This record gives sequence, C-alpha cells and structure tokens, in this order.
Amino acid sequence: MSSPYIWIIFPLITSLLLYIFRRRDTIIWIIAISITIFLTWLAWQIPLGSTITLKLRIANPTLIIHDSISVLGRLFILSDQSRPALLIIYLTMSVWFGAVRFFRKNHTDIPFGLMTAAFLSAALAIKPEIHSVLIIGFAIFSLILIIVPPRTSVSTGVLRFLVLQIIGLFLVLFAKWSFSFAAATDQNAIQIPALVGLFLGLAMVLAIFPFQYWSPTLANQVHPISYALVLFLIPTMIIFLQINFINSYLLMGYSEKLFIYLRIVATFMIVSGGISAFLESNLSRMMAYAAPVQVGSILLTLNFLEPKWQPFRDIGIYYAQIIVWGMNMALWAFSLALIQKKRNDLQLQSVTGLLFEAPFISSALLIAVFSASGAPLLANFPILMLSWSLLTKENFMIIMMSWLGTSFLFFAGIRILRHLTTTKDQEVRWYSSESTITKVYIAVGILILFALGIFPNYLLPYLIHLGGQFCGFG
Amino acid sequence: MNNLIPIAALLVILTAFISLGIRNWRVTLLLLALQFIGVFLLITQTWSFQISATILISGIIGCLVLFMAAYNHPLIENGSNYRKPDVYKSFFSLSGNDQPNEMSALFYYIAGVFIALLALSLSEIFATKIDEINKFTIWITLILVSFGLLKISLSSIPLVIIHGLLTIISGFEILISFYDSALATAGLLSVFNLGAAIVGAYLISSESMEEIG
Repeated sequence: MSSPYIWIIFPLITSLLLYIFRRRDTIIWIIAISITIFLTWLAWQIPLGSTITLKLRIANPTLIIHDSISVLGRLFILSDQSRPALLIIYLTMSVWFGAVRFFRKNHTDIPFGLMTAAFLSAALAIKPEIHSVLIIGFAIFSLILIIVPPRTSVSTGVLRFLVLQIIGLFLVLFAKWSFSFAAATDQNAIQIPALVGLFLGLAMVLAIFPFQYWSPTLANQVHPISYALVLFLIPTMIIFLQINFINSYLLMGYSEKLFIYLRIVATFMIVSGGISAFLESNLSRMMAYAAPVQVGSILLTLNFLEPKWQPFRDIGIYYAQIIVWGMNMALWAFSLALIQKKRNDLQLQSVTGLLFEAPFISSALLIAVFSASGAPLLANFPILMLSWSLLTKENFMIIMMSWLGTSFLFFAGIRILRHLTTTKDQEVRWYSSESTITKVYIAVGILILFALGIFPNYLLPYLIHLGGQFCGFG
Repeated sequence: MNNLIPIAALLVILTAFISLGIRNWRVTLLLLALQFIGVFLLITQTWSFQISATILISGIIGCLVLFMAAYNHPLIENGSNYRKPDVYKSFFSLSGNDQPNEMSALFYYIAGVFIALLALSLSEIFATKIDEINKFTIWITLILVSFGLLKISLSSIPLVIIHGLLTIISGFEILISFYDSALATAGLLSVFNLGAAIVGAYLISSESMEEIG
C-alpha cells in the first residue's frame, strides 16, 4: 500500500461515489466526516515509508506504507515530511464538514469538499513540484462548485476570484518553469521576468495589493462558511509550496535578497490588511481584510527558513501560526454565518445589541477577532510574541510595523464590541437565543483558543516541531 | 508540420482578434474551436503529434461543453422570459449592442490592434532573454494572453470570461510547450482546459439549472 492511494486516490474515488448518492444527506455526511477524521488521524500518527509494528494480542505483524506511486512518468510522493500538511488539509475538511451539516448547505458541498482535499494532497505530492500549480487549479475549480450553489446567480466576486486565481497560477507556473529552465541552460537573464511573474502571480493568488479586491468582493457575495474555506485552504497550500520552493532556491544558491523581499511583502500585507479591516463596516469584508494580516504574519515567520536560523527549532513557527489562524477563521466564519441567519445582514450596524440577545455568538465573533489580532491570553499571542522577539534582532522597524498592523485589527474588534454592546432599550434584558448545539460548538472553539493562549507550552512546541518536520528538519 | 506554422499562427491571431468584437455566442465558440486547432498546430513544433492532440481534443470537448451550456440557456429557450435579461441579452442577441455601458466592437478591434503592436515590441525584449524560443512564438503568446485579458477585464458575462480564460491558457500552453515536453504536462494541461470549460458551463447555467443535489 502507498500513501498517495490513501490520501489522494481513495478520497477522490469516494468523492465521486458520494456525488452519485448526494441526496442521502445524513449518510454521505457521516461517511465523509468519518473518512476525513480517519485520514487526519493517519496523517498525525502513522509514519510513512518505514516499518510499523502492529501490537496485537496474538501477534505483532509489521506493515509498511510506501510513500510514492508513479503516474504518466511523474512521481507522487507523500513522505513523512508531508504529514503535517496532510494533517492540516484533512483537519480543515473535518471541521468544515461539521459546519456544513450545521447550516444545511448544498447537497454537493461534501463531495466537492472531499475532492478539493484530494486535489490539494495531490498538489503536495507531485514531483517535480512545478505541476502542483496546475493541480491547485483543479482544487480551485472544485471550490468554485462549492461557493456557487445551483439556482444562484454568478456574482462578480466569483468571476474575479476565478480569473485572478487562474491567471496568478499560470504566472507562478511560468515563473517556476523559467527558473528551472534558467538553471538548466545557464541563462540568468530570464530570471528577472520570472521573478516579476512570480510576484505578480502570488499577489493575485494571495490577494496582495493591487490584486486584493477579489477577496472582499467574494466575502460579500458567498456564504461565510464557504468563503472561509477558500480563504484558508488556498493561501495555506501556496505557503506550503513556497516553503518547498524556498528550500530548493536555497539549494541553488542562497540569496539574502529573497528574505528581504519576503519581509517587505509580509509587513505590507499586515499593515494594509489591518488598516483596511479597521475601516471596514461589513463584518464579512472585515474577515477578508484580516486574512492578509494572518498570511503576512505567516510569511514573516518564513524568514526562519534563512540558513542562519536553521540550527534553531524556531523554523516551524509558521505551522503553529497556520493552525491558530485556521481555528480563528473557523470560529469567525461560524459566528458570521449564525449572525447572517439571525439578522440577514452582516453590516456592523446590524449587530447592534446582539450581545444581550445572543451572547455566545457575539463572544465567538469577538474572541476570533481579538485572537487574530494577537491579544493576550488568546491563541495567537504566544506565537506572535515568539516570532517578533526573535525577529526584532533582525529588523526592529518591520516588527514595529507588524505590531501596528495587528493593533488596527485589535481596534476593529473594539469597534465590533461597541456595536454589540449598544442598545436603544432603557432596560437591558439578557437572554440566550442560541440552540444548545450552537453553544457547545462555540464553547469548544473559545476554550481551544484560550487554552492555546494560556498554556502555550503544552501544544506550541509540538506544532513547531511539525512545522520543522515539513521543512525537513523533523 | 513546420510549413503549417505560419498558417497556424495566422489562424490563432485572427480567431483571437475577430472574437474580441463578436457578440454571437455560436460564432465565438466556433472561433475558439478554430483557435484550439491553431494552438495544436503551433505546439506540434516541440511536442509530438500524439501529445499535442490531447490539447486539441480537450479544447474541442471544452468548446462543446460550453456550447451545450449556452444552448440550454433559458434566454434562448424562452426568449424574453429570462429573469435577468440585462446581463445576457446583448451577448446572446444577434441584434448588436443594446447595453448602454458596453464597449462597441470597434473599441475592441482598435484596442486589439494597439495590443498586438505592444506585444510585438515586448516580444523583442523577451526574445533577447530566452535564446531557445523564437520571437514569433513569444509574440503569439503575448497576443493571446493580452487579448484574453482584454475580454475578461471588460465583461461580467461567464461565457465571455471563460472564453478569455481559455485564450490566456492557450497562450501559456504555447510557451510551456517549449519548456517541458513531458506526457504528464500535456495531460495536466488538457485536463485543465477541460476543467475550466466545465466550470464555465456550470457558471453559465447555475442560475437557471434545477437543484442538482
């Protein structure tokens, strides 16, 4: 048995079967969520490419899960190094399937969601990595089928998303091909257009200025749960692929300039995202603008890939940040979806006085925003502190600017708090209109964010270790 | 095959150029299919006939998928009964421009000529950077990419957007064929063409389609 069969072929075939039986909501939901949880557990626990001894009562048989298969002359490799990324993909899908069931979205969401996970795993596995860009394109196609349900008109946000993602991916593809071509034929002149192509492509895919507009437009026009999936999965995958790219770039010849550009882009994303989120009056668009703050913070931690940091264990901080961002995003999108259900609008004014009527939903929204901004006692705080304290020695100005950007996000949270606590009634009457299951979902989310913030020493080192493992330092 | 290259290049450029101002969806899709034939002939310069054929076949199937989606569109079936005629009417109508803020065909053609000239000057610059790829190929790539961008940037109609995207992808395919001649690359690119067409067909018909799930 090979790992690509487990994480690529099996979910892909299952998604097609689930599509056939899509009308049987409950059954396909149970099957899909069981599969994703099982694959998450496998990615977490099972070593790949080495012998596993099964400790049974009667005997101790051994099992080896091989890490590669060959298709059309190309290798698909999912080794031990890929396990942290697989863990994120399938954990995200498990959480998302849980939310999909809760909001009773479209019947086709679950099959296409599983298909997306399979494509993203394939993108991670294919060697040479240039082809992974095309496979991410397939994942984007299946995400389009999720965000545009039948009998709804196609919005401009969806079209912009599709266009910019595809053009961006092809620019990245062109750039990567040019880099390998330049390395093979020793034509360095081609590196400049290739670098321009790479930066333009990444700006389009990651919604960086001046191509950031697809993200808030899409946020306004699709369901918050679907939007959160798009906003989290695609940048995360691009970051994982960029780590591989940076590693290979370092092998070709280390250049300090790459990390200087990375720091500048990351800081710009954090500051522009924070200011835009602060000025925004739509909650969904606010979440869209908060994403560059998170992606920028993750890109900033990619600086630890620089050779001088590599002897240290801090190389994997980015991974902890991705996990925490995913949790923030899940809670944020969940609360927005509930607000939309309740108030039918996501303008800031529409949540006026919501705290007294729905304290759990309001708390979820507030805690997600504050956690994303790196507020103390919440999940992002120890990670930001760790990366900033290390990078301060490198460039104090960049850390100050990052702090400024996340502070704007914090004040965006204060703006939300102001609206949530404002009421026209003379006498405030507290009551909770949420269902029990909603309260349970939210309470679990909030507790996780607090636990990560208050007791970082339990999980954070493990997450940093997983991040290091993906970079080949496990 | 090499003596067919000038004809192929002319076919690609002409089809991309003419489709800029054409409003009839049937003619546009026919031009797109012809464009795929031109692209196929161009990439046979570097790829074998069999591998290049995968791109052609996926492109033609993609055009058919888009044709089926557009053909089953309610505007054609029910005429004016379509709920939101303001978006689709001009594109599906043979009667010409009835949208006040929509660009005329003349604008597209004049812009197309300027873009072609700009692409010509840019191809000179790129050709000095890459020895293995001739200037002519780079020019065709740039023309296809920029014509596609022109179509996409001035429209919000799914069929036009997908047509523009497929034009851009065709441009990149010509360039990529010089870099990589692996079977897997051709396979992935042809599946990508087909995927883009299927998503386009879904977007064209999503509003009018029955609940599929």
